[in-house]
Amino acid sequence: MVGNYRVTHRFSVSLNVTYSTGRPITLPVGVFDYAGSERLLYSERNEYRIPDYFRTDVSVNVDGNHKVKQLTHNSWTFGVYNLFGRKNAYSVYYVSQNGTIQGYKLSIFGNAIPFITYNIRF
Amino acid sequence: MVQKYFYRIIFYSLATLLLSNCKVPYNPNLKSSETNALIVEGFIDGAAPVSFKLSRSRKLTAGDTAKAVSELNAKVSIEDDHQNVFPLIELGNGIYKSNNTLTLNATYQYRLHIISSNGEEYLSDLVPFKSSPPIDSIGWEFKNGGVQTLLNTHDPNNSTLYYRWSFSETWQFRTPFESYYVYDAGNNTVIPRTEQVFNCWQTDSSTNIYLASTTNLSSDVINQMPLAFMGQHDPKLSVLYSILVTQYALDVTGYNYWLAMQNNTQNVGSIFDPQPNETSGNIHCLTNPSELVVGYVNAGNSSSKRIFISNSSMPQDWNLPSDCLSIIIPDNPDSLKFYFGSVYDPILLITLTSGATVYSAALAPCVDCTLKGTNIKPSFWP
Repeated sequence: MVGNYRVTHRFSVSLNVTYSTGRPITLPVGVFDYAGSERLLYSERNEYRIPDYFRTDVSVNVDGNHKVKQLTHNSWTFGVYNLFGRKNAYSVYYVSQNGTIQGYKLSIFGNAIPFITYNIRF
Repeated sequence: MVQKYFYRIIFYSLATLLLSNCKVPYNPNLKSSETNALIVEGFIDGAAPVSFKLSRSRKLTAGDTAKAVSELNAKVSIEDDHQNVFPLIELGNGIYKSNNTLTLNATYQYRLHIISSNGEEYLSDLVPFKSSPPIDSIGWEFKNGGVQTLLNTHDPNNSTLYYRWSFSETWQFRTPFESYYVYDAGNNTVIPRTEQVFNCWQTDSSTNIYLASTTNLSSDVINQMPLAFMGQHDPKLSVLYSILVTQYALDVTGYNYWLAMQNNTQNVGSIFDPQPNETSGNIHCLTNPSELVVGYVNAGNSSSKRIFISNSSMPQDWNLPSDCLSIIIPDNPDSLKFYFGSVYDPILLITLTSGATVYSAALAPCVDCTLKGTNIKPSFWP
């Protein structure tokens, strides 16, 4: 979902909300001993889902002057990616460490990330 | 200057904020029917006492270092399709075994019946009695500097088609030093040994799943199936090594079950591997049909064969020199208590030219083989 609101000619606000349900995943649900070794017990194929993905980005756009004759049309953008700092799962994986198996959730942009952009249009 | 430091601090703290906290432990909520699945392992064997092992799966997380959870106090029995029931006796640790070899009828169908201590009832599908042909031979060859054991078998009727093997390895080993004395801590003296701790035996079971199918071949022949492998200088071959292979015949669904388990647990971790999936077998919970039960029951006569491999067949440099050293300990109470009361074991009593006596000694693992194995010779050992 994308929303743009133009406050004045030189000033606009935009909001970008992304939501998607998590991808299906076949999780290891347990561990058991069989035929002489420890083995992993898996769930039914794609029985579970990784956590839903939800991200909100906001930005404020400040244009320069609107003179027709100039070399470049420049603007500043200030904003925050992932405003609520939600730790979205980029991937879920299991590793074996110290003889036990632990699941981990890896998130990229796990925090709110402010940004400043200077756009040059020509 | 202060401003420069200020920007630097801002930059680093931002960088740490963004890069850290990306990886957090993930403990999904699992359905309770899946976290406590009954695990059934065994074979309805007409050629050896029937043994089943019942256990429960346990959760992956929560710092799981616990051993397998055995299923205790269950009533386990073998049933056929002619109303005969053969109860199995609980031996502890989740093992249920028949007293002796059951006389099973090759034309009947068999199934496993379990009533757990909490009243849940489990029943396997009826399976036909399918016997394995005898193992023709077990050989071995040098491979990559190690020793690879190989099995040959065939079915003249071309009807077995699906095979599974398990094996038990037993090997003799010796300590670098042969000790004739033992320390008596109660009297702080060294006395002659009555029980040898120089020659020992160790036994281990196979930890992998070994399967083969001959459906793609024109005749039902298994040629040079690789089983146990011992790397170069493996101490299993330091004196004499023995392997007892048991061969089972499977039906096609049983083969697929074992293949799925093999793929799930032995062939994962690289790019082109199959996606793991649930391995449920032919055992069902009657009282709670949604409960997951792992295990596949097959019936038939197994066949087994034992071979020996001697160290004399190995290259001269197979046995690596040990890093054990012997030291000399004076024969006085303080020294005896200090050395033999801790980590050293006596080897020999030596009389010096001066008439004084000393003991040679070495660290316990260099002397006492019972720390690793048993000094009781197995009945089948030559």
